[in-house]
Amino acid sequence: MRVTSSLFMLRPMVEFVYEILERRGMARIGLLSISELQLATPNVLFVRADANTSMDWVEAYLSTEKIEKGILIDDLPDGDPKSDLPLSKPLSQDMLEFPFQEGKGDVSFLSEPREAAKAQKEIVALQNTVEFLRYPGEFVRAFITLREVAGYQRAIYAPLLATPANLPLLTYCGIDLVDVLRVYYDSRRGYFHSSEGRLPVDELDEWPCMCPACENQDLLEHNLRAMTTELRRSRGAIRRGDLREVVERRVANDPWMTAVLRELDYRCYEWQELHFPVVGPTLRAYSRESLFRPEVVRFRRRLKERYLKPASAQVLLLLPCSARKPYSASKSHRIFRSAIRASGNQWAVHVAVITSPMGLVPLDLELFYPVQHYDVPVTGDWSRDEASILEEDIKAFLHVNEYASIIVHLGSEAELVESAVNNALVSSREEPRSAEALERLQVTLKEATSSMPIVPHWRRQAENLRSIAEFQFGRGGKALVAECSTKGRYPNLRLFRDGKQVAALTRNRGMLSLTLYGGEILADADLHCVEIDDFYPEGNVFAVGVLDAHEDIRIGDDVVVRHGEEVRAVGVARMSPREMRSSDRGEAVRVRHRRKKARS
Amino acid sequence: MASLAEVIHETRTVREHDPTKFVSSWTEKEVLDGEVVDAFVLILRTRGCYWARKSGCSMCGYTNDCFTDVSEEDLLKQWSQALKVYGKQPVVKVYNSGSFFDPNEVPPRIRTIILKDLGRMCQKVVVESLPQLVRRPILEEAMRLCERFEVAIGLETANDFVRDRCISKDFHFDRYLEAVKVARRCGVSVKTYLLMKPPFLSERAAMVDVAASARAIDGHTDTVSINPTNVQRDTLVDRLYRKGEYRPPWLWSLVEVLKELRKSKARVMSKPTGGGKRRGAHNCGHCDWLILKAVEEYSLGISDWLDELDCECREDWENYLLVEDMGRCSVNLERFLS
Repeated sequence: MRVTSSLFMLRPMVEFVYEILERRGMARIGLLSISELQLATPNVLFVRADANTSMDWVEAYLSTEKIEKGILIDDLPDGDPKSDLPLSKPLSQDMLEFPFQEGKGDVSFLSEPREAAKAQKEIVALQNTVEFLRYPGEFVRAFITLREVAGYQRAIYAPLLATPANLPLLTYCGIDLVDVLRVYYDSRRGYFHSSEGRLPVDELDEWPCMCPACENQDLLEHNLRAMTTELRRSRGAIRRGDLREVVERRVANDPWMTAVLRELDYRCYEWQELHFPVVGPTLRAYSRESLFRPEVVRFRRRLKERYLKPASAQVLLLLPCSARKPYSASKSHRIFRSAIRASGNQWAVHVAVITSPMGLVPLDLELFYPVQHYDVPVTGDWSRDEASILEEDIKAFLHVNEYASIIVHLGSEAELVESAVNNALVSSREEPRSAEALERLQVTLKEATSSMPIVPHWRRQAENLRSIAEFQFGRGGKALVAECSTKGRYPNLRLFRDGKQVAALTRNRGMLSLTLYGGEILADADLHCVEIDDFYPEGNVFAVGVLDAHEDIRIGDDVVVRHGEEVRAVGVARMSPREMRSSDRGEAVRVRHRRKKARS
Repeated sequence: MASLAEVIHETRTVREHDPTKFVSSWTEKEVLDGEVVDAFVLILRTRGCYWARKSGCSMCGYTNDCFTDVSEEDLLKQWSQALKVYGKQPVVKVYNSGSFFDPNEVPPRIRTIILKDLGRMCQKVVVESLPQLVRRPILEEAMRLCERFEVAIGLETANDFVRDRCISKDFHFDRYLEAVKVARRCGVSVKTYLLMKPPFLSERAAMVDVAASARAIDGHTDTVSINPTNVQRDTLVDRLYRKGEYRPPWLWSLVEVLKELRKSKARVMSKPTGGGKRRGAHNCGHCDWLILKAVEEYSLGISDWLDELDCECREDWENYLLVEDMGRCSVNLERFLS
């Protein structure tokens, strides 16, 4: 008894707890507890000096003294030439060895991201961040390194950068705390801030805001309120899962923001993709940037890396997309299906949908995110970027997957597709749903498939399930569906082997959900496994119990929880594998089925 | 990772000069026995500060005036030319972009010749030296030859951390105190230069540093000269400045520091090099001349109207101080938040 209590005394008092509650890409919603202060993140730190006492909506202050709602930072040591003054390292002096100065306050201010390894505080910040306004690429790389080194359990604070316009982007980058300093500086110089950017007050012909502060044309308070408004919008967007859309809209206002997003999209795909979930709400692909968002690029890459066409499907039929998802449930695709059925050998036909921003989508993958969940303006106008991506994808697809014949039955996009496909049979170049076009489709299909042996439904279904399993878990995933029988009606199927269910395909999740038996098969294939300590989960699995996790697990993925050889549970990943491995707080896997400890 | 000395060393370039010509000379105002008098300032060209040749200080570009090979004959030529320009000013300041007491810069034979001439010519002689070169025998010789002798020491800051990490000058505060003790014992008066705003410090930290330093040396030095950093060519500060990573101090900061040090025992003065210019201490551009005038009159003990100074940009300065300091910055906010 004495031993344990003295050990307990040796542990430092836990004043800080930072719990991440929700994640969306690199952005997160967390709860930071510092002494008595409970602070939701992302958050904006205010400066007490400007605190109008009526601003009771302020959630936190940056302060050099201990105050209510205060995040403490060090004041300058006064008057003693023996004390070290805080230094800050300019970006150009990257190579300069700088002293690490840990303060007494709540924040570690680092001269460079790698210093986070030495930092003691739960809040880490970089010095001279304002310089990043000239170097967007450096900004992105610095904050990625900072997260890598600081880990997921610390709050990242970016001083002097935030404005109402860029706040969603900063949270998108994984920054947990910002401050009002830049807006404060601008307010004194007469700038009016809004989500669109800033304007000099003396150029306003009409006062463009109706917030309470603006009744008295109180510029500073308006700007501070605008920050809080954007903060709440950003938090809402993280919860809803549409922060990316907000960011895409915002970057159009500002070259720096555009550059930051491009840097992330073009040069930091791996980092972004690691954090982006494989499930989500409607993906609105209305802007040019949406072509490069990680979920879209991931789908296209996985199509190249993980997908092989069903073996018995010898005729490729390229069809237009539908507004209603999944495609097969739409009216237009029901019409196309009856034409296919009428050809007499429907399971020899492989349908792929031509769509933006995904490019080419085999119909057997129509349930996967974001295929089932995207919205795009369908005017038939293809940008050069969209066209060249589509062309490239079709060529790459046909390079790997060979067909006896390829039929193009499309609208205005037929022209684009034809240039990428050799010897395509074209049954429609416009109005693919017209009676004549459908007639032509039926005839063309009949000619293409008549000489082929009839493919039975059960064979195609097995092949389709194999595609789904491989796309979801990687090439080894086919082990899960080998020799499976099914019950139910697509898109809701239950899969059985030896009379035992291995998984279920549901339209809602858009992928396979494992049973414990399925988990064992997947564990044998060594896929999507989370290694835990020797315990039998009584509920969900928390990061503290995780020893290791496969690198290709993504948030929303079905995973197998195992200890050694024994599968202990199956469930859904709630954090990235890196966070599972490095953190000791938070739910890592939401458990669906668990093995109970055998009675000894 | 590189040390500060290595980084500074990289900024150095060597320029060619005529070794027989001194760098420059001019006349300025100085205080002697409470009276404002003329002082003759002469900058000799020598082989230059040994420390600057090794790597030097982050803000110092005086090494640009140095020449690697200046012979004794060259120095004598420089001196005889200087004598021709000299106009009987009661105070003479002989500087050499280094240490007057360094025998490699000013050989003892030449030093004696110069001091002997000066002793006959003027009432007071001022030279500059690093504290580690301030030695009793040299000071005794100087006092024998000259009526009044003053040594000016670039302490820059009383804070060793700041001197090591931001300036890179190769001595510590203790060494300065020893030099002062020796000087005083010999009857040599001491003027101490403090640098206001070395790189890597915020404006407010720089103010705290210079004020704390002035207090720490009060009672040791006769005069405190506050030198706001000016951006000299081919220095680390110059590199930073050109990238927007350094802003010379505001004149408001200087005014505040001078006000704060009014009660010092030592005479506190400042003669900002490049004051009012972009590369020197400056404000908004409108009020700079007025502030410089007030600082000059204050420094010469003519009048003190520092409290009456005002301009619209004072609020900008306050804004700058708060934002920069809280945001942990040392770069030029005006360049990044324009």
